[in-house]
Amino acid sequence: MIQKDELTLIENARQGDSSAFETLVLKYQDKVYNICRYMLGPHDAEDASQDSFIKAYRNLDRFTPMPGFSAWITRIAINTCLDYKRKPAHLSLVRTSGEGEEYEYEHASNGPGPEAALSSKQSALSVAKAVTRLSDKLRAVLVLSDIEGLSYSEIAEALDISMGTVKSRLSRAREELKKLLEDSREHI
Amino acid sequence: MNCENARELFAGHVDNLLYESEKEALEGHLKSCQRCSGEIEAQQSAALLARSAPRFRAPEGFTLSVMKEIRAIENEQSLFSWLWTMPAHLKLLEAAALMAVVFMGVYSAGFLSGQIMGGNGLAENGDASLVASVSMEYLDPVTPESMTDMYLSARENGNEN
Repeated sequence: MIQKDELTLIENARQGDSSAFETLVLKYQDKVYNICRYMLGPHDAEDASQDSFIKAYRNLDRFTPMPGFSAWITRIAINTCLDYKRKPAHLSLVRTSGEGEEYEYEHASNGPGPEAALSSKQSALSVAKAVTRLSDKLRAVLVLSDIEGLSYSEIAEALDISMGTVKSRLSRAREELKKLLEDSREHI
Repeated sequence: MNCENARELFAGHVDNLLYESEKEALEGHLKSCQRCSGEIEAQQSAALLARSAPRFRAPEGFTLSVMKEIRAIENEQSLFSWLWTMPAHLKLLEAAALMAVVFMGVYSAGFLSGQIMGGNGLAENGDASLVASVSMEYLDPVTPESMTDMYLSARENGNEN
């Protein structure tokens, strides 16, 4: 559900108050960038993220309070990434990306457990690489669910698919990810 | 419950989102099916790993870049809407003023070039004169005597006026 102050910001932005929209960009920039980064790789992530916010700004009149700005901007970001991937120039950049990249990271899960030993930077990087090797459909669901922490209904809304499809794709994505990680360990 | 039905509940089980009845039915199946039991364990492990994946942050200055683009769009839109919302008679007046400025510019350019070229007797003589006008001969320095003549005739003309 959308927060009241967010609705006010959107209304103000619609009236031409660009600083109101700036507040929304600041709030959602990391989320949008992270999605684009996983969907496209480092080369196009920034451009696609910018495009997503510009599209949102241009289409503020089409925004409806349900399902909320978070789901709406997520949907725009995913669609923008898919548009980028349809263009051959972008596709080639994605496939050569990710080598020697410097970046900051934080752990989505910081609790102890059987996989806690793997939560080092190196392990996090190998998981990130494996995620980018999933197909677009499986990757989108996995990133939104396990990395961005969206609910099944939010994912269904963002990707315009049914809840049943979210569950089955998520299950397949996790299965595929596990195999990819096992394969990469075998090759070390 | 068969394996196909069980698989539909895997994601919900991993995310702890099953209803109590679904959970009981699935757990009952897992006790008797080693394959599904292995698959669900693998998925639990994969979910934990995926949750430990890095979250990338937007580069520094990202919001500023976005807002710069947006303000440029706003400026374009405000200029366009200003033109669009102008009353029709003002638009006509503006178009007439613009045409007048263009006409004046063209006319004064023609007048000036005509005066310069006409003053040297070049306009009438066409291209040949134009070529001659930039030849070294045309630019030959005048002698001191001719300079005096020119000065005196200018003075005389001035006095006549």
